[in-house]
Amino acid sequence: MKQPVKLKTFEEYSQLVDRYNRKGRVTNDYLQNETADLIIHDSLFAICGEDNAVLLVQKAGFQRLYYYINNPEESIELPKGEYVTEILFRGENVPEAEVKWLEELGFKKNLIRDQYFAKYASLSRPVFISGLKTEVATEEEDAVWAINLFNSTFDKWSGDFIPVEAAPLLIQEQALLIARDVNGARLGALHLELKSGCMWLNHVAVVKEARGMGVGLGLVEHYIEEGHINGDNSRYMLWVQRQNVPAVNLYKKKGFVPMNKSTLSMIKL
Amino acid sequence: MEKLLEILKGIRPDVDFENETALIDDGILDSFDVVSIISELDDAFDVQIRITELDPENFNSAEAIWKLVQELQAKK
Repeated sequence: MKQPVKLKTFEEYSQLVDRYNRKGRVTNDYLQNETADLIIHDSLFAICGEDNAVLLVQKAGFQRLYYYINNPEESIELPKGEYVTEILFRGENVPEAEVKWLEELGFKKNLIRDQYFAKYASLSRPVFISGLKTEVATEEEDAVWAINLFNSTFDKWSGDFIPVEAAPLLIQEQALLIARDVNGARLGALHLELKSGCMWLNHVAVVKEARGMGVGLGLVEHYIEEGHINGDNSRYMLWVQRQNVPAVNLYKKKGFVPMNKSTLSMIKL
Repeated sequence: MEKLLEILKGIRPDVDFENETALIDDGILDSFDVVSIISELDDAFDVQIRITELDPENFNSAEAIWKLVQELQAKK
């Protein structure tokens, strides 16, 4: 079995892409801007076959895999461990050839996420949820609580796992909203991020006992106001798990529209 | 150029490619979009874009992408 080789320079990465980025190939290598950072931090590895290659990035407890497939017949053996990869696709059809290649490597289908978009002008009117208070988190204790809620709610492979150590930074960036009931008890949290003028909804989660009571909607309303920075042209984006029907319905009802962009995550344990 | 606009609209129907001039700088296109565009350009215009040519400026507008395609075609 070939062992992963560390890519030490951008030149090495560039040579790999030149070799495997052939006409007719399939790839999910959308690392691009991240590549240089990963190389500097000794975090980018590759296993190269004759026609196919995979890139590996170490994450918390598993490795994220990117691929270049030129020859569906050529398999690449992976060392023991947990892996996740995402097949990016547009439209309704998951690319079956990629699924098959990955299944032969030992991967199994996990879940599908879709990307949604909205401009402020197309959003429905704000809804006021009685008895619910939402606020930007200012205490580290609230941030730790929110991080633990996100990490216990979402699939660690497909969502973005947040280390608890990130709590002070999230407070500093005013990136967390907390929902409370009239007695101050925490009911849910939302993680937002302003990137290139677009307000992203990175995570939103509600404690089990308070689901179906409008807590998620209250948080989303606050998130929309936080992102209202460019009048009617303020932009909002998010990914949502397709099987999370209540969430999908909430976003659609608010005026979010699918962006013709989806991912199927596949995992190998 | 019309063919290019058709491709871009197919990838991201929500984007106003005729008028946007900061597709990358404003985060309207992300790296997945860029990868998809590169792949479609390869199929439609037979041009391959190398990683070193992935200058964000080349993807900030439909016009800039069209210019890149023409340059690559001229090099062939």
